[in-house]
Amino acid sequence: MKARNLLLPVALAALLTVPALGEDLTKLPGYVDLDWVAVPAGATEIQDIRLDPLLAGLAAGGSDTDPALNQALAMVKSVRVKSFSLAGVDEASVAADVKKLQDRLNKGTWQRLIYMKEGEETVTVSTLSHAGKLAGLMVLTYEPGDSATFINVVGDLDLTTLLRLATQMHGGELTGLMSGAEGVQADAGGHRDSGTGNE
Amino acid sequence: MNIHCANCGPELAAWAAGELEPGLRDAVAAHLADCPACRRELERELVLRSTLAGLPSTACPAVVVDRIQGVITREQSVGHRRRRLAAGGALAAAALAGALLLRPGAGDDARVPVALLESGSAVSAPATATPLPSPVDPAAHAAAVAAAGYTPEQVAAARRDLIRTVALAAAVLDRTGRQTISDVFSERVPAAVAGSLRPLDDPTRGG
Repeated sequence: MKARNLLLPVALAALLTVPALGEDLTKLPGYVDLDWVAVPAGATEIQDIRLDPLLAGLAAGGSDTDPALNQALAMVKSVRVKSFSLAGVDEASVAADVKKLQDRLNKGTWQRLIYMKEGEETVTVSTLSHAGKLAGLMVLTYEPGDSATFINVVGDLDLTTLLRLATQMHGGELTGLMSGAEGVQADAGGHRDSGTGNE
Repeated sequence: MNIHCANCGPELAAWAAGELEPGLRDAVAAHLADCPACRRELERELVLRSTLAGLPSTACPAVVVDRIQGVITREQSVGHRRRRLAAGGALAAAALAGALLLRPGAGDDARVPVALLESGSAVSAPATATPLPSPVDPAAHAAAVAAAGYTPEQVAAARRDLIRTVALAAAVLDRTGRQTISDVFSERVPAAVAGSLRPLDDPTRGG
């Protein structure tokens, strides 16, 4: 009983260390609503990841021995990812959604940092500055007939930290990080949300 | 002008620095001829300058320059208390901004002997853009997870997703190349982005 009585104040004190508790994600500068982006019927390898500030904070707090990785994770307040494979599906809606999102980013306070076209694949990276700092990152990759990926990262971001992560991890380790997560690969026609705390 | 022991201190310092006004040189020389004490004082001044010049020097961080300037400004504003405080605050803010914007290797032209730096007040180290996270207490983290209503498995899965996403963003940036950002888009890079892009340590990094 005594141990239980102690648990609550300890837990409450511990929660104070979690940043952005209770913040409305949609109000954060750098947030991009991706809920309207439709996953076309028949798409495979669907990833739909939503980490709100509370869960992102808890996730970033886990132990990891790599300082570069820890530093990168500590920057993030929230994450939204929609990614799917387009092999053999009707892509008309995807192309329209990509253009719609690019137009929105171009009109607003976002600034396009990178636009790269390699063959049929386009990569767009946009950033949003708030109070002199980088508050949002939007990555959009689209290759007709292959895949589309929408990534929105909100936080106190530092591109050098991300690039340092890429440099120190090297290609193989970075690829390993990207493919190492389990439990979010989808079967055909279905998908699973990660981070269901606020749903 | 009559030079006396009581008033020749500044002239002796100027003499040692090679900056004495030509019109005063004869008067100071005449006094030195008759005053062993002032000759010893001049000799001490010359030895001090020679010693300082021989010390290893380092680039003076901008924050130090700002702080010194702040002191000078405050000293010059005696009697204007409010303005002096405001200037100090503004200069302190400027010093802080300068500290935050300090980049390795981007020192000032002013070079200050290390001995003076070490004897003075603490010089702030350049601030990094993203502070290293503090070590996490496993028990506190577990308590926070429980209090938030998540299971450890959910948080572990979220962590994997977070890592994947950050790694993916890093890979995209790496692939498109920092050089691309710097060269092609340098004119359109937002100030906050430019501030967050600093030279990487690896000299083999390229575009």
